[in-house]
Amino acid sequence: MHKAFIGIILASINCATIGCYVILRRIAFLGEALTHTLLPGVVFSYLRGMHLYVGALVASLATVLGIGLLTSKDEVRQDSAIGVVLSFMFALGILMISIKKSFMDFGSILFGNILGVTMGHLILVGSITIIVLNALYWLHKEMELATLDPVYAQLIHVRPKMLYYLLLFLVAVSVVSAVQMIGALLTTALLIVPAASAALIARTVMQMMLIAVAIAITGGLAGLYASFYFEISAGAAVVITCSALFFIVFLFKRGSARFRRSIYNQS
Amino acid sequence: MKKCLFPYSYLCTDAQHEGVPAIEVNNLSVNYPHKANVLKNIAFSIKGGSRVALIGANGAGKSTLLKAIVGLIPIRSGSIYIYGHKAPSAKHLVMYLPQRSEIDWQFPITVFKLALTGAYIYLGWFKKPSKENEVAADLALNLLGLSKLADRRIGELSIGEQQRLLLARAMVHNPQLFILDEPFNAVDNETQNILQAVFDRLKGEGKTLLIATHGKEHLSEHFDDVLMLKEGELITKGIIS
Repeated sequence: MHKAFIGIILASINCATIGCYVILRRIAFLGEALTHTLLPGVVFSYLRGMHLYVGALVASLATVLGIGLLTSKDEVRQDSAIGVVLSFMFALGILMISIKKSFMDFGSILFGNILGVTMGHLILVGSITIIVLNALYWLHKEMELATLDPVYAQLIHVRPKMLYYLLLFLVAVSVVSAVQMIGALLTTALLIVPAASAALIARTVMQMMLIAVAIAITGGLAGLYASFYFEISAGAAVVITCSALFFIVFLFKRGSARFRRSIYNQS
Repeated sequence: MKKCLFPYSYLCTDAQHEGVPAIEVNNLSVNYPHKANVLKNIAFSIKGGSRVALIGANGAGKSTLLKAIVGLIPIRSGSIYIYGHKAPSAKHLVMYLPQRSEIDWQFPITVFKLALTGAYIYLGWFKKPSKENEVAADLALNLLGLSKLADRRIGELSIGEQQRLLLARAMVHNPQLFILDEPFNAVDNETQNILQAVFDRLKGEGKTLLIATHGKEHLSEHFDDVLMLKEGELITKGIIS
């Protein structure tokens, strides 16, 4: 159980922090796509007897490169490119599963198996967390500028396109790290929901990341406890808890805005 | 001009800029993928330290010309020199203020922090802004009348305040050449007066300003020279009285 706790904390940290840029860049659909397009990579690894995460990572990176290439000359809109690549890769994965004639072998990838986390998984997730946090720390001002004002970033050679590809790579590895914990189908939620909650109240990107991590860890641990005591899906419990926190923050923000308006009107 | 230890571009150096034209454009032509001859054989030269208006109707090619000068769009033919350097290698000498819509004004960042991003060109990769950079940002905000708004999120500013903030960032960047695309567009009188005062100050410091504007009033009062574009061609260069 303690491995599950450590695993969910690490996955929450790297998904929540990188999820902030997913929200700020308005590429939430891409996060969704990555959790689906790793399927053919996982199936391929399984069929070849390789580590599943090797295939998952290769498929995620192929997705990111494919979307980047399709949108590089602005001939294809980003949401269209994501839709095309997602559809193709997911269908490829289903095709490969149908050839194998077994849907149950990949249940742990689709739905997660947090109680089955091993030391190897923790080392993988821990390494990815270190990579993600270091990248975001050392490149904080460049990532922030390239997101906020890509024109000015390009003018001073900050290379916004390179940073965009780096961001996509970090999203891909974060998604792969979380898949074991809560499954491919729900990893998007860990990427998006805590960051979306933080975006409602944060004044800076750093604040946004700290709040998102706090919400993700709270949701993760609460979901884990709920799954243990009520014998329900851990992934679903984590996501429902995070979503509940989102609605609490949303209502708090609405309520405090109304309260401030009423104070202003009275004075 | 400070040297960058780890510049974003290897071209960030102590470039000389005195005694050469601020901008020299020779036979410049630009196409868009969907439209040919957006700019046709444009040629002009702007002296360092002058304030020049770029005027023309909507669709004349003003924004295209400004973007071509700073290297944001590819050119079909011709050449552009900024203080004697080919345009891409002079990025640190020029600041471009586009029309407002390019920035994500909902981004979670304060007014002070956005002004501070003007110093990034001197920092390069991995380095954090110093106290000196923060002082420069404070001074710029003070000059543009934004000191009291320093801790506000940029999304809370009015259009005029946003325009002033972009100019504050430009002043922190401290280039030799300012290229501004319709800075007076849709801003209030107070902002117009503040901007005009800052432009006078910059000219006094020997900076060069190329300003795209619709307004044809007071051209001879505020500007040393005028470039007029019509349908992608330069039809006039000189003060219109």
